[in-house]
Amino acid sequence: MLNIKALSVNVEGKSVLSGVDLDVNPGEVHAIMGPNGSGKSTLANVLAGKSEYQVISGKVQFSGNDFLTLSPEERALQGLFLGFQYPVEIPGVSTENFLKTALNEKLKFEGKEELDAFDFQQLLSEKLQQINMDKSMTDRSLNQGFSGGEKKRNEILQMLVLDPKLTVLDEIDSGLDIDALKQISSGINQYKSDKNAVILVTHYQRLLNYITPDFVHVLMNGRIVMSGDYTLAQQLEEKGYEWIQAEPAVA
Amino acid sequence: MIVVQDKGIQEKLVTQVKKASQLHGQPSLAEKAALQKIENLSLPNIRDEDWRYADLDFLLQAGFDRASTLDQQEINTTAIEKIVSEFSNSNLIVFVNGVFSESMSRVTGDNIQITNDLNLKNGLSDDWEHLENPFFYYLNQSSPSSNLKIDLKGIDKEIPLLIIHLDQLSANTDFPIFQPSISITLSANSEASIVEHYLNQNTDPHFRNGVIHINLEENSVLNYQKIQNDSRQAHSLSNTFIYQAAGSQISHGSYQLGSTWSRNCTQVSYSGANTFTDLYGIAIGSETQYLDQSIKLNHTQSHADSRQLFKYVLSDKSKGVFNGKILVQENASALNAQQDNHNLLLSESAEMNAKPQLEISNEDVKCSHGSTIGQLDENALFYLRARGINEKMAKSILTEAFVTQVLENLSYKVTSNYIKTIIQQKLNL
Repeated sequence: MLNIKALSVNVEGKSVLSGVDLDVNPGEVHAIMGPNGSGKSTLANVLAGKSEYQVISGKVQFSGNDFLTLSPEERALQGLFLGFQYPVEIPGVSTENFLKTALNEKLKFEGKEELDAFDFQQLLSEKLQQINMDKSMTDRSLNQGFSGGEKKRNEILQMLVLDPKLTVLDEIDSGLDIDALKQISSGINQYKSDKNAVILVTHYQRLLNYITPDFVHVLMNGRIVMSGDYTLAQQLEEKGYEWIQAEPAVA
Repeated sequence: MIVVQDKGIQEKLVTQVKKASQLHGQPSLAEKAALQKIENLSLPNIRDEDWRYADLDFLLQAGFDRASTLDQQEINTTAIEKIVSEFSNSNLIVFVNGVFSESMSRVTGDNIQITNDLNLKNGLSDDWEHLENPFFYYLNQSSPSSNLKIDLKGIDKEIPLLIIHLDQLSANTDFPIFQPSISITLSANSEASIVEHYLNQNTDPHFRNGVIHINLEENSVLNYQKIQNDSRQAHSLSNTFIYQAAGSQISHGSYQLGSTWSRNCTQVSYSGANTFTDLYGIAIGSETQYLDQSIKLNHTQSHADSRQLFKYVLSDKSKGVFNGKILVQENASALNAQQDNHNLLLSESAEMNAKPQLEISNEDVKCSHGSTIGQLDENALFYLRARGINEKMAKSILTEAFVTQVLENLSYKVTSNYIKTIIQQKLNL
């Protein structure tokens, strides 16, 4: 589904990613872990098409198509969803209207019939229930005045409504208390299927107690320095990131 | 150079007024007095702080056309009927090319009395002349196209009185000047709402120099919305004078959406305490539109609240001007005055000139103002696009969100939905 080959990225002239390789197939959950400043968020944002990241070299293919030439909206319509680390507050745009617009853009792109107000309401309340979120949240302006946990839950709600092929969640677990973490994990687990894939970008192993990844990758200094299964995350939890730096790079 | 140009415009206007008067018969005393004023006053020019950005050169081409008669057959009333139906067939007053049209207007009941009298004199006390150069006020009064007096007692606020200005007929003059004058009095202890709608499909250039007086008697409450959706050939100058007696309240929204050149001069004065003045507006400019708001509140009375919120969205090479002046006189205490002006520039060639002015001569006053000029938030734009919403649509959504806050002042559903729709059309949503 997603094939990243030798991807190198600069931000403001500084190298942030240098030669990242990653392959993600349908049905898989990948965790990308690493210390602060290792380039985890850059990877997530580059995939979504944020403009201040300059791709220096390498390739990203999504379902066989070159992804890097596409605009952010085209990437989303192809089936990519980025859950933001810091969801933006947008006063004056209601969460519900925003979601309805986004969903109908997607349906239009797929040549399907757009949802009317009634059908959308039904879908929305079903998805709200899945993550135990109150309807009143979606009447409010997008993320405005939301707590950290509410913002993250709102990202998961959007994921559930838009039902993307590939979901990249950038530090979805940061700033969450244990209840919010459980609800969000439950949302992700309900979304997961053998047709879609999830990339969890995270600093801590905590989230992985609730969502078991098939692969764990360690990103350091702009490269994936180690990959393994779930046990790698447990090792990181015990020993921190420093022991990897001491080891010679294993790919 | 500039001086010569100013004189040229002024002399031409004076000659035009005299010519128009002759065609019309004997000018009234009021008209004669006003003519004398415009001969002696100087035309506002760029040396006036308040008129710095207002290029008046177009006036060199403009002239009066009072001799032309209107043929009702030629008037396309479809646009008017469409608006009337949206407002539950409310009472309707129509002006065509600045002239009150009795046959097209429909006013029923005792609560609205109208009188059209060209000889009627609308007084302008000395206070006003200190506030704003009154040249265009006297130009209007020296040769008014109409002079309509409206006396309002309480009317159902959800069904506003509609005042529609239709500038549609191509007149005999290449660049005609239309000068409607309206004077509204709202009786003590009564409430009313008015929607004034400037509407035309006229593709010929013209200048409308309108005057509106609003007298709010004690404890009266008025909701007054002014929607300017003129064609891009219109040059529109609005002189609005609001007089508030004790306990009166006004909520006045102004939407500058059309015209190539548009300036609203709104002035408020007070004769009693415990008043509330809420002024707000949205200006949406594109191409080379010039959109100008000049607001002046002269607080001479105590215990008054005033609020201003104006938002501009400017694209292409359009230019916006906001002059908001709050004067608090020495004897006016226990005052709350708030002014906000926020502007969104959607292109690098668009220009905004914002000038808040507070002149406060009393200690017991709470005054605040804020003014910002900015672009769309790139992070917000990316957030929407990352959800599959294309760039153009995302920009429209964010722009609408930016101006929507202004409409929150409007509590009447029908009016607010109507205005929202027009604004969405303007923003291509």
